[in-house]
Amino acid sequence: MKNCILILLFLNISLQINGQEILLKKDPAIDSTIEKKGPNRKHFWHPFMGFGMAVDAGEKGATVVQPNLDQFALGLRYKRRINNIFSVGFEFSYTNYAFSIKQNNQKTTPDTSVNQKQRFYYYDLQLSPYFRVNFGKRGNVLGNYFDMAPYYETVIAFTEFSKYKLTDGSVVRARRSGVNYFQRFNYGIQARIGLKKIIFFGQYRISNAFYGDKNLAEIPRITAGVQFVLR
Amino acid sequence: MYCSPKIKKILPLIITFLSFNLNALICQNTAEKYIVYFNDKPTEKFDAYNYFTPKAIERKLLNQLPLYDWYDLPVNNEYLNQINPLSTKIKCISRWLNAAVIYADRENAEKIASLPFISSVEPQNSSLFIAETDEIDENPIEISRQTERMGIRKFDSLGASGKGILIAIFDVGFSGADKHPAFEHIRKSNRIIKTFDFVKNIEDVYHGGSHGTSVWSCIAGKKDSIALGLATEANFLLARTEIITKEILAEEENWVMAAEWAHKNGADIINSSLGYTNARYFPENMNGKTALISRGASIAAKKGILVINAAGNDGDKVWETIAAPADADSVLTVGGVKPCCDYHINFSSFGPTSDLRLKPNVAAQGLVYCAKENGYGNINGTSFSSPLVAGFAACIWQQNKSLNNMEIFKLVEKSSNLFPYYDYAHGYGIPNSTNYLSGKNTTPTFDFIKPDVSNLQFYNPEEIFYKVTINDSAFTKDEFSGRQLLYYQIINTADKIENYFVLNVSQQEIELIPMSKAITGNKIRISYKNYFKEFKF
Repeated sequence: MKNCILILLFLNISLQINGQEILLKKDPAIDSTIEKKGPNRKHFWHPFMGFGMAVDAGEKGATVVQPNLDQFALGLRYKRRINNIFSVGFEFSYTNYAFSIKQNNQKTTPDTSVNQKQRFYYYDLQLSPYFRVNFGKRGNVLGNYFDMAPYYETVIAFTEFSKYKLTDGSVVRARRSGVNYFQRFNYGIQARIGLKKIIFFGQYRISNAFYGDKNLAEIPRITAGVQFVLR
Repeated sequence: MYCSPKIKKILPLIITFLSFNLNALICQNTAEKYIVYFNDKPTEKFDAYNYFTPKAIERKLLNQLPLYDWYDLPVNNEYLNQINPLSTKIKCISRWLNAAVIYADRENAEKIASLPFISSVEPQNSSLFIAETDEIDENPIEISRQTERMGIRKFDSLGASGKGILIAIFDVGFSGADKHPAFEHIRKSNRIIKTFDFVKNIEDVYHGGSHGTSVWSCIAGKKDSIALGLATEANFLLARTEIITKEILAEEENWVMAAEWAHKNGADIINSSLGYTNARYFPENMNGKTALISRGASIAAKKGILVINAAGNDGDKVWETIAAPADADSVLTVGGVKPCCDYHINFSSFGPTSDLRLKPNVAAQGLVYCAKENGYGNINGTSFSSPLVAGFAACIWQQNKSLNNMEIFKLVEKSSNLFPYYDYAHGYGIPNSTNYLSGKNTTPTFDFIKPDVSNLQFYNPEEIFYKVTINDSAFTKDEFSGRQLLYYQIINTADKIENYFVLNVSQQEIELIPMSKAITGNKIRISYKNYFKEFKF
């Protein structure tokens, strides 16, 4: 407390000695420079966050528990304005998926054993170029838009989680990674409708999740959800 | 593809939601909004006496304005009849713009554009600010300060309180104003001439929000017997042009419609405390010519109305600059100052316009005590600076009825505390009745001292300053700011402001600019306590 008072006293004395305090300083020449960066300027970067859920349940044998929050994404999107209507861009994102496989006697993926719970977790790095059509006259804001975006993702980690009961009643939780049935690279297409900073998206995974020779039923291909522009 | 029953239930909802939005985005062409401008209009058979109210005619005669001009003539009915079948709906018609706002699909809009009497068809698809920021109630300010700062006592002694001046207020709504005690004196003397809600096309305006209520109180409201604004005896037209929850171009159209209505009813002053920024425009569009509302405001000024608009509350935001229609050349744009200390309040938008014209023109308190929907309280925003100046202008106009709007505009600027000094934060400063009535006391208050290096063999130009020495008699605290504010700016060879400063000084010798930064040919303008001086480097 004593120190605080001394500092304040010192600052006050300094101000008195200085005798002039700048209350306002503006440089109109600099201030009026036309920006090149901004939501409807030439270049725009923004981080985003998204949540999605599977729309289809997956193929018979790999049906998933629905509704369930299956996808979370965090990324960075770049937009290059062509004109007031068209833009192009690309995005990098980290995405994780979590699908809970329904445990029933029709189940074939990844095997036919019926557990209490079984989930696939996988973590992706995604790269996606996109083409954007904007609607309506607007100023320096994102406005309303429609995006078409093919995407390509690399699975950086995959975990199969199983929870089952042994005959003695004890519960076992098992995690398996490095499995040989899950594809490491996926691709698909994403469509987005953006209303300013809220984006509704739907995506379709074109590639198969599992290697063909494993004959496994496919987990959901269609995901829909919402993204938020974090800027 | 298999879907679970739950998803099957949700899926139609998702599809409906997405398709609704997609429809909203893509299928706008089913009926988009356009402004259709016509080439010409019929120039005969216009009965001004029938169209305008007696007050409007009186104002025109007093200001030696023509009874009517091209802008007042009605839009050609034949043209309207021809575009009617091609449009889904004609929303409104503007005589001033010689245009109609219509809804039509794209194909029909193209057909309309090809008609020989059409000048252009512009698609209309904006952000509005209601120039109010977060309310601060915890530190009540002195009720009468906002009016005393502008010299209400002198006006009172002259009987100047806006009597006979008709002020139109365009706002989001006037909730509670029909019963509020702040306006009892106005209601009692039937000085609310007309009201109209341009959003709903009804006469009732006492809904939609209380922003207008607060704004109105800063022109003419009272708390007990204390005036909250300067024009307590003025007459009023109240128009609702804004929708607080939406930010659509319709509001700009409503504003223009309201301006035509105000003109028809003989308004002398329009006060509007709103502005449009980045949802529709870029800062470089703030040139007074781009925004529909700015074009409308310019026509209103041409028609002899003094248009007063808030500068905006984006001074501390990315947008930072003034907002349409405050960018229009003939609109008196009002910035905000701190009540404590008389200099720029952080949220008040800065000028200049994108084509480097001076804005704001003047300033007034940006934190005021005013009427609210229920009771009274403090409120922040240039929305409330603007009506304070509107009240000031009404008092001056009452005293000088033969002057026209632009002469009053200049007189308000000239009555301001910094005049002839100006900057892009305060304009010419805060108007005051003393300056208006007695002129400014321009006794020299400082001396400008050029550095003398003739006796120095070696010196560092970074450390040797051009200085100002404040005279002994002027080295006192300002009456209103409680500070000693020194304003200065550097003007480049192109006669543009390079940078400007406000200093709070507490000693008589002030260092302004080092020799190293004083470029030959540039000028420095300094203002301290009504005294202004310019020096060339």
